[in-house]
Amino acid sequence: MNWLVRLSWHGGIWTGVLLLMVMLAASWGSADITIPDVWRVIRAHIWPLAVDSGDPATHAIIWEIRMPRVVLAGLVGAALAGAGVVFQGLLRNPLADPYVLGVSSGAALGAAVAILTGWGIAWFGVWNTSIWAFLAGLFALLLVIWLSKAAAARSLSGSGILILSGVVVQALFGAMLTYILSISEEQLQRIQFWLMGSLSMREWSHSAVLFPFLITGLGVLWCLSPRLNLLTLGEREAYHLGVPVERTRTILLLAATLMTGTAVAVSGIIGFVGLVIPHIQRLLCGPDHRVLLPVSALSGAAFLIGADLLARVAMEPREIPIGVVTAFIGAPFFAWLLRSKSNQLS
Amino acid sequence: MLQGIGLSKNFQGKYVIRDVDITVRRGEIIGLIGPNGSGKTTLVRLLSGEETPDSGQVVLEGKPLVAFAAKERAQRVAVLPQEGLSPVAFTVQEVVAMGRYPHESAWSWLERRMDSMVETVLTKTGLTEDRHRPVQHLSGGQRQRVAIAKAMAQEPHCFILDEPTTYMDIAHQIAVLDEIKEWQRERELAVLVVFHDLNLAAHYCDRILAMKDGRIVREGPPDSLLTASLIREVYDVDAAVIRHPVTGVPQVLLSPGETTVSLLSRSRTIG
Repeated sequence: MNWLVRLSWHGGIWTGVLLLMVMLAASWGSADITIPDVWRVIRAHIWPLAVDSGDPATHAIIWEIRMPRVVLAGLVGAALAGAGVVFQGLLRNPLADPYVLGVSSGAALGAAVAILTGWGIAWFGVWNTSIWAFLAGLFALLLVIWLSKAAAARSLSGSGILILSGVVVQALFGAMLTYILSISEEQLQRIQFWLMGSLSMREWSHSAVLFPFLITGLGVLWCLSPRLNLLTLGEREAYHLGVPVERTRTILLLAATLMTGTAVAVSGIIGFVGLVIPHIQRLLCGPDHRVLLPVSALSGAAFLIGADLLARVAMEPREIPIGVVTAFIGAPFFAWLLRSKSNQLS
Repeated sequence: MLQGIGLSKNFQGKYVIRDVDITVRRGEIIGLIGPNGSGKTTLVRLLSGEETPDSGQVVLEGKPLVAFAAKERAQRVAVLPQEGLSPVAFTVQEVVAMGRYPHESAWSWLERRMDSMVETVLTKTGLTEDRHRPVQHLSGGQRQRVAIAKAMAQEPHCFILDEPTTYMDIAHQIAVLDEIKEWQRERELAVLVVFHDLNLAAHYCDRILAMKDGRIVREGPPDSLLTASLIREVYDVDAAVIRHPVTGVPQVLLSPGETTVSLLSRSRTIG
C-alpha cells in the first residue's frame, strides 16, 4: 500500500502549505492585519462554538473582502492543476494543459457570450455562465483532438502536433473573444479580465458556483485514476488489461473540461497552472495518478493563491492580471520543458 | 480455447483477412508466419477483440468474445502488442502490478496486503533487483521482459504475442522465448506468437500457420511444414531447409541476391 503512504505524506504536507498560504494571503494587504487575526476570523466561521471578539471592521475585511478572493483562487488553482494532470496523462503529452490546448480560450469565449447576451439564463440561472464555458471549452477540445488526429493520419506524427493544433484553436478562439469584447460596451478592464484572468471583485457566490463542479470533477477523476495509470501505457495496453477505453476516455475528458470551463467562467484565462504544477508534482511524488491528482489539486490551490497575492501586492495600489503572473512563471518553464523533453516530442 | 471462425476483415473495400479459421488450444504454442502485409497483425487484433471482424466470430472458452466484460476478457487473454511497453515513469514493480488490474475489485485497494502474485512474478522473471527502477530507464530488451512479467501477473489462459523479439539481440530473443515457453508449460497456456524469424518459430512452436494475402495457406508442425516449397509459396523466396545438427529441428538458410527483383515488385504493391 505504497501509494496510500505516499498520498498521506505528500497530501499532508501540501495541505499544510495550502493553509499557510491562505493565512498569509488573507493577512497581507493595505489594511494592517495579522495572521492570528485571520485565524480567529476563520475559526469563528467554521467552528460553531468559537466567537470572534476582535474588531468588526477587521472581521469584515478578512471575511467579506479577502477570504472570498483567496478561496476562489484556491478553487481555480485546484481545478486547473487537476485538469492539467488528466490532459497530460490521457493525451500522453508532457506539454498538454487546459491553456495550451485552447480549452481555456474556448471556455472564456463561451462565458463571454453567456454574460454579454444573457442567453439561457432563464433556464440555468447562476450556472448559466459555467455551462456555456464548459460547452465551448469542450468544443475547443474536440476541435483540437480532431485536428491532431487528421494531421496524424497524414503521418505528421508526434505529440507536437497536438500542441500545434492547440495553438491554432487558441488563436482562433482568442481572436473571437477579443472581437466580441471589443464590440461590447463593457469597459476595458473587463476585457483585460477575460484575456489574462483576474480574481478581483469576486464574491463568495463565485466560489459557491465553482465548488460543486470542482468536487464532482475531482471525485470522478480520482475514482478513475487507477484506469488513468493504465492508460499512460497506451490505449491498446489499457484495453488488454480490461479497461473500457472509450468510456473511460470520454468521462475523463468531460470531467477535466468541466473543471476547466467552470474555473474559467469565474476567473478568465489563467495559463500554465495546469502545466507547471503536475510536472513538479510528478517529480516530487511520482507518476501514480492516485497520488498525483489530489496532491496536484492541493498544491495548485496553494500556487494560485500565492500568484494572486503577488498580482495584488507587487505593484500596489495597481493590480496585475493574475494570468500575467502565472505566465511569467509558466512560459519559461514551458521553454525549459521543450528543451529537456524534446526527445519525447519528436 | 480461443477460436476464430470464418473471420474476414476489409479496409477500404480490400480484404486484409479473408475467411480465416483458427484454433488455439490449451497447452500449445502456435506460430503465425507470413510476409509483411499478409494479415498477421490484423488477425491478432481480431482474436484479441481489439477490432471486430466484418464477418465471422471469435469464440473464447465456448463463449463469443464480444459477450465478455472488459475485465473478464482480460482475466483470460493477455496480449503483448508489437510496439512494446512505452517508456513510462512507473517503476518495474508498479507496471507488473498493473497486470493485476483485471483481478482487482473496486475496493481491493483497501486490502493492506500487497498482491503476492506480483512478488511471485518478479522473482520468477528475475526482476526483483530492478523492481524500483523506472521503466523509462530500461533498455528495450529489459522493457520487453517487464511487459511479459506484467502479462504473467495477469494470469491469463491465453497469451497472444505480436513479434515479441523484434529489435532484440539474440541473447535477449532466446531468453524471452525460453521464459515464455517455460511459463506456457507450467500453466498449460494457449499461446499464439507472430514470428518474423522462421528459425526461432521452428524451435519454439508446436504448430505453425503460414499466412499469405489474408488467408492461412498452410498449417502443420514445424517438422513437416517448414520446407523449401512452403517458403517459395509463401515468401516468393528460394531457400534451403536443413536440419539443426543438435536439435534436429528444420532451419531455413537464405541465398541472397537471387530474389531482389521479385521482392521489390511485391513491396510496391504493399505500399
